[in-house]
Amino acid sequence: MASMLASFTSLLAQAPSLEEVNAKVDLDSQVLLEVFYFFTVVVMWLIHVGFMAYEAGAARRKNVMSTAIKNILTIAVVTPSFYYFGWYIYGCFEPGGPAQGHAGPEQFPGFCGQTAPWAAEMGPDLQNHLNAVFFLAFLLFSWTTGSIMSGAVIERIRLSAYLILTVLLGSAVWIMDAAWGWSSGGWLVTNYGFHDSIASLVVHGVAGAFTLGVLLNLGPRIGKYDMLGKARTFRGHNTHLTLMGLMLIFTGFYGFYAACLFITSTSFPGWLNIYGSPTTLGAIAFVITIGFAGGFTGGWFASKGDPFWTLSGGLAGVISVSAGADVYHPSLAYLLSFTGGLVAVWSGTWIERKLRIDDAVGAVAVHGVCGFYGVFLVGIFAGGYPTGLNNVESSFGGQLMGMMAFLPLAFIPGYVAAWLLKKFNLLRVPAEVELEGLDMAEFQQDFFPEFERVPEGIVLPDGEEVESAPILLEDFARVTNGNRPGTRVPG
Amino acid sequence: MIDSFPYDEWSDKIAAFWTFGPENSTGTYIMTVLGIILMVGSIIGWVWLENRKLQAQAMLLRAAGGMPAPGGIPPGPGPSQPPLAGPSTNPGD
Repeated sequence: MASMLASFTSLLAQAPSLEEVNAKVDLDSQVLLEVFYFFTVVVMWLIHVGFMAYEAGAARRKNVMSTAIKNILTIAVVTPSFYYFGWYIYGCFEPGGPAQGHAGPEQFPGFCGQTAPWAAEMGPDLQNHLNAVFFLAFLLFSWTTGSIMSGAVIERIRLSAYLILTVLLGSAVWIMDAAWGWSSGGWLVTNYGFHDSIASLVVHGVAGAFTLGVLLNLGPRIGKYDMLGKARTFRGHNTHLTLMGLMLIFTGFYGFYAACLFITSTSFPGWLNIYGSPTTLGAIAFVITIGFAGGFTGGWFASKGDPFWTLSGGLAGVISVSAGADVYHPSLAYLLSFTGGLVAVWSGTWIERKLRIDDAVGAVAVHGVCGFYGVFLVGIFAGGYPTGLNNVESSFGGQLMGMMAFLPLAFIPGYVAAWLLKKFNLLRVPAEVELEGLDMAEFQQDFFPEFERVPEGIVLPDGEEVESAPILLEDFARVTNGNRPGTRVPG
Repeated sequence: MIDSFPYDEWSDKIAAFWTFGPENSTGTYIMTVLGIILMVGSIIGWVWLENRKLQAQAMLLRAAGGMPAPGGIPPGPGPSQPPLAGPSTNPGD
């Protein structure tokens, strides 16, 4: 008996103390979040695979590689610029302007100081399991904003102009709005209860508004509009590739959604959204999945079964319900995403035909219009929901405040930067090069050498498809004579 | 036994060893500045190089007289101009 007691006492003496157990659990909790974010980043890469395939498929054969390379080089320029100054903007601009020194918001003391590129947390740090993967998740969102613009401007923008614009959008503009309205300490959140939990507006809407500013300066592709300003349609060289790209984007969106939540069970009992308000991973997975269903349905009916717009409708549907994905019932998300699919098709058609803006993939409609629409819907269907660490109730007025802040924040830099590039003749490729195809000038090769070339086709406003060469040459003559395509000719 | 490794002691040594780490060292600042120079320089390089390519191709097309068939093969065999950059398309290279 004495021996058993001695053994038991010895075992007790070897057992870790409560503090040691707590420390181990805390470490496990942090490592779990580190692993979670790491794999959201892996899944989010699929968004960029998808954007590349989607846009390359939508391009004509002569522009395939010049289209695809934009998506790849987005990573080459946004990654370092986001590391050197983008993340710092997120950490230090939550009050609106630069925070005092490295004080950071009260809620997370010192976060501002942790975002400078020379901070310990921005390098190898054995004591910190969260900052690096958190940075990476935001970096992937930044690539996404660039990729949203990328599709709209294909077949006539200079690669280098796109890269400059995407640095501005991905590493300055969107991350500024994220600091203001997509962080627990952002002034729109703490003062107005602005609620955009899965980034309808802060990623999609802002990228769409920036893109609109660029497109107004870039102008339409040669041949896009006839003498009366009616829109013609270019046939993408591979619609299957485009649809596969969209499906890859959808897959990556699950990573995107997941990366908008976080959990550290030793600090909070459950999942939190970006504002620190409780939700669950299951709740947002419900909404995204049924959001695709509603969006596909709306896109199909609004476009009368067009395959491109049916899939784009799915994307629009999800974007329309993302802002409230943490609070919507699935049935509500289904209904709202259906309307999102309708809105995307109708607004895309209006932008193309009435505004005469050549957005090659409908990015302004799908991401821009539906991004703003999603935040607008939260004001109606989630008003009163307590948002953020201050528990300020979401409201229609607060949502409008966010929309009014982000529209100029996004549109003006896009417009001004594109205008400057245009003034220096660095925005658009020469008309001759556009006519021949960008791939010959950029890469000196045809990327489908094994396939015989067939005459390029174009769809007229009345739906008839004809050979494009005479139309493009006629428009080329107008461009070189100083008449912008799409300009309505009197009489 | 893996649970007998002196992890904390090793961690201190590794953290002290990391090249130009972990924070606020002169090396970190220098690497940051060099990285920013590379980033800005590469963007300038993209603008300059692409402008050269596009102007050369546009000039070639104008000099050829008439405009190419849209999306058509450029005149003559092989590349329409000497490649200014990028991988060679000649399998013999």
